[in-house]
Amino acid sequence: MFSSYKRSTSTPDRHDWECIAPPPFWAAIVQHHKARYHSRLTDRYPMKIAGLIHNAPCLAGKTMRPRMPRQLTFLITALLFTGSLASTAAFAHSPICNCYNDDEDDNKVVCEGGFSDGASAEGVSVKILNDQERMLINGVMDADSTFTFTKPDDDFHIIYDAGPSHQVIIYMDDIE
Amino acid sequence: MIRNLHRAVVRCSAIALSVVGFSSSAIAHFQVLYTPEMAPTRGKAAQFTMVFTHPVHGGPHMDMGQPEQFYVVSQRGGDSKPKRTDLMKYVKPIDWLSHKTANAGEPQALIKAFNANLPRSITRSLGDHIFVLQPAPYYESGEDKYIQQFTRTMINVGGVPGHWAEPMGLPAEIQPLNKPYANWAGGVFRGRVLADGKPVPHAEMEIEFMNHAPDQKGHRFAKAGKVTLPQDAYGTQTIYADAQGEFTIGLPRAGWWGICALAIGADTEHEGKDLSQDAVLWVQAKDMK
Repeated sequence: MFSSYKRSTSTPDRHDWECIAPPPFWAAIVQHHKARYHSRLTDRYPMKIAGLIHNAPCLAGKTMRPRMPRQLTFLITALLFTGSLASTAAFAHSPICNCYNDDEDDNKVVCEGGFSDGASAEGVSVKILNDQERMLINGVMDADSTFTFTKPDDDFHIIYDAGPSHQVIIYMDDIE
Repeated sequence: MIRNLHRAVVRCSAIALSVVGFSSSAIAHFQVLYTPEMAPTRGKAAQFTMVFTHPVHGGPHMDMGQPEQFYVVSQRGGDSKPKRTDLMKYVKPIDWLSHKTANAGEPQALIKAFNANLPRSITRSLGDHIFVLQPAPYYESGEDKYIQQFTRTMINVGGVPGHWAEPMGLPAEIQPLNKPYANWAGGVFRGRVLADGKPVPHAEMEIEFMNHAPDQKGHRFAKAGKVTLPQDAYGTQTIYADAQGEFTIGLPRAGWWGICALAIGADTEHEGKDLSQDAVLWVQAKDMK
């Protein structure tokens, strides 16, 4: 009935069923336990107790489903891994932004954007915020991967926002 | 006995002189185009120093004529258009000092070199800035020929790449296959020898480590070398490109490395003498700390 970390030949149904998506916090608890004791649950506790610990969410009324055949699991895992590699390659660039005072106009700041792989920054969002995070200027990089703005009266910082985990923040004191 | 001792001294002196003479002919000429940092995090004013010397030995140096061209081609990202800026107006002559001795042990006189103090606007933008120096042909009396080394030093600001790998179609050129400004000490550097944009099979090449740190303010190289050469063949590493004109070298130590492909240009004569049109590319390696 319970899925387990260790296969048991005497009780085949234990590994033929698994709990559907235990809550993330429970998986974290199990992982923490494994990391702390450097062992599987079944090495520390009798099989039955280990199963109870691991499958407590299922005991609490969650649905059980037949466990997927191992070969199929391996195939899907391999496909997902390959896919994740491809995604990593596609997003293996990091955002880069540099802002400096315009030599021709002291009241203006020029921001240049780019990526570590040389991709264009055209269309990348640029936000100028004050210390209270209130939006002062909202714009995008032009075809030349540049955004020029007039310095606000307020203290400000610049966010070059190329998407989640792809942001660069530049504070006004760092602008030369 | 005294006569025998005198003969021995004379013989040893002759051998020593011949060894010195042989070593001198073995060391390589390199056109230096130096600025301290090839990969600054942001653009700033930069000083470029041009000296014709033997970098692994810290001299002796050779007088440079007025450079024929000095310019930079800048590009930010792969999609933008490269922009060429002429820099000749910044090129100023300087006297370069030497710790080396010239003929008969006399201290070498001041030699003519050049400096270019570039304003921040030249390298202010992110991306690649490829500096190209076309010096005047130098007459090498020891070989009765002229040498002209088309020299490139690449600067990258901020990590946004540009056209560092693109050939420029120079008469003599080393096309990098690794970024010349981003190399770890202990890694390898790959490139291709080109003349007028076409690969030069089996080109003879020389590699030298800039063993004596340039002192741009004092107009001299450091007296002490960073490494001691076990034998003269270690100073100038000689290699040959393969059938496609490609080569790979190691960068065993942090610092500047000069790569020179010899006599690959189409022009082979200047003022009635032989002319060797060489290509020089400088590469900077850094320690992993």
